[in-house]
Amino acid sequence: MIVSVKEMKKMRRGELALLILKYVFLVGGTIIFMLPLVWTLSGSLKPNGEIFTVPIQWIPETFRWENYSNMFSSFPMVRYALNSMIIVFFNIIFVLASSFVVAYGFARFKSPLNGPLFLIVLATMMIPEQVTLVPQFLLFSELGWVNTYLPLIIPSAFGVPFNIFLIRQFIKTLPKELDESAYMDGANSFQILIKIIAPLCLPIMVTIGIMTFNFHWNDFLGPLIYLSSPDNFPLQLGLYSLQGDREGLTDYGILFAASLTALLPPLLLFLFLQKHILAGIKIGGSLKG
Amino acid sequence: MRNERKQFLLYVSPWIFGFLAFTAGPMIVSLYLSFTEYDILSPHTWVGGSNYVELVTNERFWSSLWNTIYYTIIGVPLHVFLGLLIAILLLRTIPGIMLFRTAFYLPAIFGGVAILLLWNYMLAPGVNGQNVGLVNAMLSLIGIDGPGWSSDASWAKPTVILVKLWGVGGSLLIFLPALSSVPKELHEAADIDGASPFRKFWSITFPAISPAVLFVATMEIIGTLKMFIEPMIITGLDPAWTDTLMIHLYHNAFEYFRMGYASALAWIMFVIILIITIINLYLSKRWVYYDYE
Amino acid sequence: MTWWTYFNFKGVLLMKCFRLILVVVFLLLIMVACSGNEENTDGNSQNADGSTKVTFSYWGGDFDKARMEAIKEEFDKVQPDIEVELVNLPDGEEYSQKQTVMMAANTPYDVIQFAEESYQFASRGVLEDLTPYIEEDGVDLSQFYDVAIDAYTHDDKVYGLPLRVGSVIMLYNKDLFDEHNLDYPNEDWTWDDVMSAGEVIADSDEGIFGMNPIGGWWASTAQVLHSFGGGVLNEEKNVFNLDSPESMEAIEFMKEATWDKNISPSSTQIPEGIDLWTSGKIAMLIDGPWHILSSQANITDFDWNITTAPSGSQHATPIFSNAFHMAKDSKVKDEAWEVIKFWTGEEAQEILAQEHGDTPTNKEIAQSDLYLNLDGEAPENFEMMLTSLDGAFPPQVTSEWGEINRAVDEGMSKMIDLDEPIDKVMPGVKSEIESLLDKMND
Repeated sequence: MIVSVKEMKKMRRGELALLILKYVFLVGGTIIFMLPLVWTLSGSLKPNGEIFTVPIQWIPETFRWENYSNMFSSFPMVRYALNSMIIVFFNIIFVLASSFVVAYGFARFKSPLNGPLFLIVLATMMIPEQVTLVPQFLLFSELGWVNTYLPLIIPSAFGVPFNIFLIRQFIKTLPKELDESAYMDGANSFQILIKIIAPLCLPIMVTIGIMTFNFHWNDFLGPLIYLSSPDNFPLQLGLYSLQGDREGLTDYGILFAASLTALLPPLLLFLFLQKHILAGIKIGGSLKG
Repeated sequence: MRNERKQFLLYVSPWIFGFLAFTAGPMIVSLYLSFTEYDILSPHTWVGGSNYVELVTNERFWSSLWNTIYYTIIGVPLHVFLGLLIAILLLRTIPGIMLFRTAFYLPAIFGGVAILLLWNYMLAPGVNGQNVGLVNAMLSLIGIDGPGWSSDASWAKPTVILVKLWGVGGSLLIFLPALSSVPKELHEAADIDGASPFRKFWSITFPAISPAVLFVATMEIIGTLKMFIEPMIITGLDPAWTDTLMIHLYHNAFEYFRMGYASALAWIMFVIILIITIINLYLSKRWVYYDYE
Repeated sequence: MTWWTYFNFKGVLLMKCFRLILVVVFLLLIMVACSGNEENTDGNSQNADGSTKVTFSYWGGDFDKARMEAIKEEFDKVQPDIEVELVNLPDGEEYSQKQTVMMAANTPYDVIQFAEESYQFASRGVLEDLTPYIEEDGVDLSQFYDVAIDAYTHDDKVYGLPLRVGSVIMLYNKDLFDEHNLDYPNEDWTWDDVMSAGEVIADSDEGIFGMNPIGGWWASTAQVLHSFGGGVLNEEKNVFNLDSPESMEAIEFMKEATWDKNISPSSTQIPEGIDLWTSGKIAMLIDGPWHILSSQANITDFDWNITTAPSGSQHATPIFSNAFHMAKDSKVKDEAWEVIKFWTGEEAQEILAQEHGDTPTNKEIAQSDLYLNLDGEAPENFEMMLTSLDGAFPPQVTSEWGEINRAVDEGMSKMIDLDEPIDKVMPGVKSEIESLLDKMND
């Protein structure tokens, strides 16, 4: 098809307008989305009394950098961060390994049980956790797991429904011919999983890794319920205990400083792995042929 | 064939084991507890179906149910639409893209207490231009007289939805890769055909990413039906305006020591979520295109 | 053939990494499991060095943490055989939730700080009655403020001993009173005085209010109700009393102050988080004594002072405090008692006194210079903290405190913040609370 020069020009002009519109939207959105964080940042550099004033003061009168150094002395931040890291690390390893294997089972093997069991996987996502919490706690307590990281880690080793769902959808989009030709070559299903499916699943694994990291990094209720000694506490519990029981007795400057610092690991992870997420390998389906 | 069945069981066995050990047991216990009066601290007593009767006669159950459904019907489509829109804008590499992506993504991972304080403060309606929170102050700059947000009966629920939308960037993790997987050749072909961007989206991009859209929508529906933290932070002036089923459940379980009632509520919730999800998955057959099957 | 020989494919390097990770994972897992088991020496709290471990859970911010650590330091000197593990937990419902599940599993913390929820737990049989311990050791309860002990005495049994106590007081901004040539409030002030001074000072164009929102939470509600002779429940705590003429008068007053006279902002105008007091925008702040510490730290541009909370037909103010309780399932009760005794004893009280914040529950120490002498720092009327405790009453706790409290809060919020008519809101509140009372009396 031949496109006339005039049409080309028209298209470019349209594209330019579109680009400008895009920037307007992005800049506006960025401002809206970042304002609360900017406010937190500004609060983290103020003494307590200046934070909640009206009208809002964006730039502190004097920058109180001590808030950032004081946060290390007001609670064992480094220790708590390391504890968080331990929990997060094991969860990522276990979640990736187990959910991947289980999802492969659901995605690739025919069985009359496949449909019903997958429905149960979906259904378990819908359970309101607050109610199974007490029976679960009693169970873990019988096992002697309370005040260890086991209740926060071991369930991940048996597949997390959300991730099983996501990976299953992904594997289903991979052409089955790949598996079949490998079977011809005499590979067994586990070898296919490792050699053929796994490398193709890298982007989804990165995505799940990030989501798992974020979830467990920010998780508050699980550690609160299952951990008893402060030595084992993760960062989020430390942050919560920075808040005093009565207003005025909380050092908000330190609280904000610590909250922002706690944001760094998930942020860095996102920035480093962004390329892998966008590696351009398809997720969740593409057009046939 | 038998071999395939065996292999299936082998691969899903970790999940089956975990499900039986950590989920099925506690669920059966909670089903049993829903027929008892149980305060967690002292032994339970069998009360038959009275928790369920109490549930349907409790006004708060119905108002929380209505709120929860409202959030789902209004909030989820907005979430999916906005998430997708942002992902489309953030897909192509343009100058400053790292900054933009970070800005939209950051709120989704900002946990912790600071945020709890923040929203109440920012949404302060103020009076006579005094004591105005950040949001209404900004609105007044462009000549809009901001509403009373969570102190206003008709705004309380939309406020919760807006606060939740602040975390919409989380869906970038799903939408960005999905969008980037749409084959470029298809777009180029359409460009040559002179299709409008809108048309291109509907006939090329959307079908290609529809499984991802379904995934995000499903997760959002489940998440919203179980929503807890946002309405807890920015509770309406009358909590009945904003409370969700999950909040109703939480108060009963751990503040009022009524675990039996809370368990009954949990099972009702579970059934509601299950039904809505099945309807959603059923409807999705009309607009989701898989390239398998 | 082990299962990981499956990993023997071309990417040798990748495989090595994978194997390394696996080994590390298993080693770490074993470490985590072991270190966990060591700490979870179920039923046997004997440490390797022969000392006994007592776990002690509480909530609170920096001030509380520092105080608890300071007391622990003193305790370690006199009781080297008891190792106290202080556990600072998040406040509020999460705190109750954590305690509940720990108790349900028979692995509670040994010593537990509770405030108004004390009775909820005590009535469910999970707290130890401290009375025998008190009698055996001859702890003289009369050295404490009666009201502070009463708050934790349920059915004639003492379940908790408090270290600190405070009551609702009134802080006032002297500059705003000077500006309008008004006399400063004093302990004889009634709500009428507050109202007339508030009307003069309130200036809605400038965003200045006469006083803070009242009736927003149990202590504020109780203070106003009781000062008019009313209350949520009657004295025996078995009859709904929020619709008595006295209580209604108090509610009418709160509505008038908020809407007709507009001297105190409703929550529609000022949600939580905005600190009008520190910004100098309210003349009178009627609330807990913790505002003293934060005012000392944060107020620089105006003068302020304190006095007792205003009275209606009588002077009445609820106390807030928290007390240290012992879990019934504790395995180290004798040691836990030693901890509670020390934490409410003289050394601990003196440490608290030096903060010049909450009042020590030990009367003698509260009346000493150690507590009262501020070395010229504001507020001048600091002794008013003690005056305010005279005639103070303990909160009306019941076994259904949580639910009753929420029902009252929501009802008050409708009547005061939303200005809904009393006769429209009251029946709902009444029937809800009465059905709870019925349940309690069963």
